[in-house]
Amino acid sequence: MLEQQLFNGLSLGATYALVAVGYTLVFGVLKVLNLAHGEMLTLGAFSAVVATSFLGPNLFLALFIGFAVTALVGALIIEPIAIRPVIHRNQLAPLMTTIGLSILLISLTAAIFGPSQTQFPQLMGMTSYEIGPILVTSAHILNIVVAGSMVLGLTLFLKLTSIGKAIRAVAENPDVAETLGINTRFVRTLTVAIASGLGGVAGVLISASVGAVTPYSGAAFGLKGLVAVIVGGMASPLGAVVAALGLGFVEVLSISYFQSASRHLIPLLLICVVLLWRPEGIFSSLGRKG
Amino acid sequence: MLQINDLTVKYGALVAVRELSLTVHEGEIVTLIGANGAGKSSTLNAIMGLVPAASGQMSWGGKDITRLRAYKRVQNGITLCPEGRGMLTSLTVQENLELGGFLHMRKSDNAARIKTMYERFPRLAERRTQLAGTLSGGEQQILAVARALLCRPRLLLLDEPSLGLAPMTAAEVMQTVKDIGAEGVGVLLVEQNVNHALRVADNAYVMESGAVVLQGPAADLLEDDRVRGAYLGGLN
Repeated sequence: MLEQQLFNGLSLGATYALVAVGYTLVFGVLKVLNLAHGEMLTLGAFSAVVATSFLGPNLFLALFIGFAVTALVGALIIEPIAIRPVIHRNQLAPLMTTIGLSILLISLTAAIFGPSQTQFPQLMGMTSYEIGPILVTSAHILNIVVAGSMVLGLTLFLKLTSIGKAIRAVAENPDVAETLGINTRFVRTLTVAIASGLGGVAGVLISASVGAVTPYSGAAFGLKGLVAVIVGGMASPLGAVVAALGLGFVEVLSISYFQSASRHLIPLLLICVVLLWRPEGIFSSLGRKG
Repeated sequence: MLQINDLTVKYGALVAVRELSLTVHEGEIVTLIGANGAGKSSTLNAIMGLVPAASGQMSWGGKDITRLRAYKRVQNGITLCPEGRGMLTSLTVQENLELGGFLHMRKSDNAARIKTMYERFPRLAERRTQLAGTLSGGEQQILAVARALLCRPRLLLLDEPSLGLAPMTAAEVMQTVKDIGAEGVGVLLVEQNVNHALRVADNAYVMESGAVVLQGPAADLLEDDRVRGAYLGGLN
């Protein structure tokens, strides 16, 4: 029983981790909290609903469209319109503009798809395997494999590629990056595009597990990712991933040992305790070293 | 050739540089000397494009660069070694050098050039996998110069390269500056050690309160009574 819950928690936490790295990536490079990030989950999921309704329920199509549409929104709307014009004016301004954008996106999706649930297509067969005491479903595998490889892929991209190193250079010192010939404005746009795209993929994964999507689901799951980021330490992607997995475990355990309504309450209580203990986040000192 | 005409730099109401004009030819070492706050770093930052010019023109190789963004100036062959060394401390020595060659990463000789830097500065080779933030001040300075050279500049702006260095290391850095000039790269050097600066430079400008008050061949300024009195007091 406990093993099963821990495994469920890992699967849920993996999707939260994918949401969380989107926040830390943007915060690390632009020093801005992108509060429209949660809506990338919604947008990714609805894009997948639309694309699969035309082209058939294909998992890879759904993931690709979920990434591509939200990455474009990040590159063409979030960074150039909601962040770039206000980034140097006032620290709070990007918070306001990204909240405004998220309200706009929620209203738009509600206007197009209606405010209630839209069914999410069945993207793969419902198979399950028993491994010892654990029942592993295809949804578990999808979450863990896709979210895990995305987070790992992002890490390797930042570590090994020239563009990845340029992104890290801009995160540490944009002026120095410019003196090396790095177009910091392009790097900022690219960073928001990648982060948004990862959010879109997370939205597809979460909606595939739930089986439905509403215009408001992104806000709820985006908040979970944001909580993981704050607990893990704003500038520490590794901390955010660890905190996201922890959040997944706590949430699943509180559903199974208390009642399902407690899934939102108990994690938030724990977070208050963690923040009283370490207001800067558990892993904030790791962030410095990457 | 870098040609600056009547450059003014302002931070809000504060005028940091006032109608400054100067010229740097390729292969020439020019030094800007003056007290702290005289506007030397602001001049370099404006030439790099990190701070905007309030008025005046800057041209490089006949091309107007006054409104060009900084990374585009790097593409045109200008780079800056910033004061305080500008290390990317969370990246390794090797990664800092790779980013120095960022614009040239598709060229096949880029890796070979990094290797040449390791041969030229063996202490960097020993530290290649360390984070740049763990290097000593002198090592960071050498890394900053090596990284700037990997941008393949034709004009190198050097801001206080010997600041805080032990005399031996400072002399080593100055020798490197001289070598860079001898390779045909134009160098605009800001240096608090006026004696060092005037000995490696061809031409010099003296700045006070944002404006040039004296200019001429470095060898002449080294003998100038006003320069000796203000900046070389106690020497000889």
